[in-house]
Amino acid sequence: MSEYRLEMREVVKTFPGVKALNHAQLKLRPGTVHALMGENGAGKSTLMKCMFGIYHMDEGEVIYEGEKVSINGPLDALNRGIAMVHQELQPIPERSIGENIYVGRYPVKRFGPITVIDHDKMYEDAARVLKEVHLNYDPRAKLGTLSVSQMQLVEIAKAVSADCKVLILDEPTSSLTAAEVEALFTIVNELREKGVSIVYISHKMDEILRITDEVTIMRDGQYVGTWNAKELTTDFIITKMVGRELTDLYPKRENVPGEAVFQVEDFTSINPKSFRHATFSVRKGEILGVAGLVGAQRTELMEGLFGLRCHTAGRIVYKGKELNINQPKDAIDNGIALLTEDRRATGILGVLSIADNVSIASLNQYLIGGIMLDDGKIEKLVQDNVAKLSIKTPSSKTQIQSLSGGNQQKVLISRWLANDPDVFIMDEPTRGIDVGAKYEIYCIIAELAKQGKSIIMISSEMSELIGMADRIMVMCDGRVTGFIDGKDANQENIMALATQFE
Amino acid sequence: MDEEKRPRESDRPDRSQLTGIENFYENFRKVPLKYLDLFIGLCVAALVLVIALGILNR
Amino acid sequence: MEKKSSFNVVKFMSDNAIILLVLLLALFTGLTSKNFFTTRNFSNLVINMSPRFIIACGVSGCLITKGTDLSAGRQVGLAACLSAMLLQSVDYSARMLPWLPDVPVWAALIAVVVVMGIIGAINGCVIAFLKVPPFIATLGMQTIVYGACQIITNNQPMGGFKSSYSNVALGSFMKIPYLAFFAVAVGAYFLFLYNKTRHGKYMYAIGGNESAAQVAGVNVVATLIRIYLLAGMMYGLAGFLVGAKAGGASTATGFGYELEAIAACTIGGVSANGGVGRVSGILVGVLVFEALKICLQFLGVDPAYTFIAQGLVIIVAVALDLRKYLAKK
Repeated sequence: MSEYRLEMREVVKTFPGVKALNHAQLKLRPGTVHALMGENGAGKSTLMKCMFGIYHMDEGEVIYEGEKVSINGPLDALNRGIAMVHQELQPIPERSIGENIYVGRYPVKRFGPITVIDHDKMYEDAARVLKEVHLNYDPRAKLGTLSVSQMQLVEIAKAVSADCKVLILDEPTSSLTAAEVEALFTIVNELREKGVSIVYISHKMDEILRITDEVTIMRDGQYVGTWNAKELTTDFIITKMVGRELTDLYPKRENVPGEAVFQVEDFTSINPKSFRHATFSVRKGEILGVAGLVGAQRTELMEGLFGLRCHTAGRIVYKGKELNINQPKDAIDNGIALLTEDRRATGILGVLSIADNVSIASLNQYLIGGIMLDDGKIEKLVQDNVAKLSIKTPSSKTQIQSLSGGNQQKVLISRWLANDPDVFIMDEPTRGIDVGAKYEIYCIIAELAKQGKSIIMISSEMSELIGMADRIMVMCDGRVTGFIDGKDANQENIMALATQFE
Repeated sequence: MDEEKRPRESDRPDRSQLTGIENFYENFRKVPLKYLDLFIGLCVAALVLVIALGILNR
Repeated sequence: MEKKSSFNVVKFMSDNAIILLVLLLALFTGLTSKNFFTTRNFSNLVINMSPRFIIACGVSGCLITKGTDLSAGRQVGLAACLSAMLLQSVDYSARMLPWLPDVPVWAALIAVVVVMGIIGAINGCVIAFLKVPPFIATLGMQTIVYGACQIITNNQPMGGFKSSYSNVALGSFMKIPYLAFFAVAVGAYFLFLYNKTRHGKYMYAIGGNESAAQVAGVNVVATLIRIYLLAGMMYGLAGFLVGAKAGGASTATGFGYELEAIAACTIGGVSANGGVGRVSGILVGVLVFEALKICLQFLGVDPAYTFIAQGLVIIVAVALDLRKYLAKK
């Protein structure tokens, strides 16, 4: 029949306000290791979730072994021979390794009407499977006794044990040591010999070039192309992943950075796996971009500076004065603002009005007699911001959750501006926002910088960083790996610093 | 960490973030709304019945 | 929300099912019984509603911040008993504290409100500092308060109040019962607090999205403690009034009041969804409950049936709230 074991064709998936997949496709041959690459948000995980039936596709089809299929969920996929090892583990540490491997599909014995789990068979099968992947763990031992990387190997064993025909590995080496990575590659090679189709999702260029046969690249939910791995170079891949025309997507910036006002020294999280020894400074009127892959701990670092996370070491010096920040209020009182990454979770007060959302962080400014809130003053504040930032809303009493993403973000920016902060940290300020609104927000950021405010902007969009930042700080795996001057920045050198794992 | 951070359709709230009452309410997530409507309808009918009985049996 | 523009009759009926039902019931009662639509009866309704409204206002803050207060009823009971102990007539033979001099009514009220406020503050601290879920914290407090009440009163019911105390419930000014003035004062205060003060805004913010409120610099701990403290004070006031109204108090006073208060709030639009709730809604909810009771009483219905009916109303209120929650997400 077809040379392909699995095909995904013309997949379209839309979430409110965002087209996550736009006629994406994927074609897997048997006995091949096929890499799936793309920036954060390119749609790789979404595509896999569509394959598995975790998401329902708006358009498109999945053809498996020559037939059009509709997969209802991970268990259905597993029964058909499609297995996935997730990036985020979902282990059950209290139960044994064997039980974890066979969770949801325990082998059973029947005694007339009674069905019991056949533990002996389960452990026998588990031992066999573990041996197949060269792991010497005792299947009866509790999963919790293993290290995180070992648990990840068990996850892989679990997928392999299903005797699958298609195996998807999502960032499989993220927690593995070098030796374990080699073990993984051995397994992958063996599976390839057996004829399994393997999808390998990863950011690690060297691994991709070493172990994979074909590479499919996605960008903005769209299919860019598929190439033979042997013909590829790192530069080519990055260009294809990121390659965007830098047209007039970004406003002309007129800010002139002055002297450094905000300095962070050796800032280290209380969690050893999170940010550590972060040192950087921001100047007055400067836009400092912060680049890095998912997991680089950029958000965590900023949350730490804002008082939402605990730190064990480090200092923050602002305008020469050392700051002691243990909770958001401390940061706010010192003129720092934080626009969070996930506005739905930690930004907007959904059921409350726009007026309430704008004023909530600055209520002390609108008091009559020290107790009563001056609704008139608040209303004026709202109207001023609606005009200044072009917020589209029927009235100030409208619930904020009925606004579009872009307008919600503008309301949140207004909230912070009401306190006239000097340092404004913005975490993915244009995520989930349409192109038109993005431009408006860029203009706002440029204007704020021109006024002398210091902006720290975390972004996962290369072109955004290159287009807007005066300087870019790059983080990798919790460490600050380097700084790039705005005019020298390009996709390659940012990516190089972002993938500088130890 | 899932790379796809757009608003997720299957974005069930993490149960550790929910309050006690919401956690209780989430237990009914799988129940189709029409059964809930039926239940409410039955209770209202029962209410009317009880009041009627109370009036008749005084 | 399915239909946006036009007035959806079915939706209106289902959202307000209980209110409509009770309205119908009231009409029915009025048409079939004498003396229902009279000022005297209305006065009775107001007298019954007032303490319940005050309690519901107290609980509302807890509900709006996605918490609850299951200790409300027993706190009301303790407050009633404390008031009783302080305000029994000096020449009453079975006086609980025979050595106590004559205590002015207002002094007893202040004392009771302060004590209950402290209890409420303890609730708040346990919930806000120790992060114990409100359900469990207040459930524990409920039993502690009940136990304390038993110890303090030695399980003796009390009566024989001085007339100035009883007068609080029996008296009126210009035909309006004193109790109504208390309720109106509380209502006005809460209206102001919820709409015109920072505390009110912080409360709604926490209920709407606690994490976002925290990022915005709201002092969640302080706000929660204030909410439960205020609730305690309201239970104190309500207990004081309930004692006066009943002419007696015992460890049984107030039992189960929190269920009705929470259900009344739920009918009135305060719900587990959090961040929403208005004083007008609380009033409607309390009115519905008391109207139900008074109608059935007027119709001569056996109290047992009334009990069942109330229970059903509570279930329907929670089920409707559940439905709203599931439909939203």
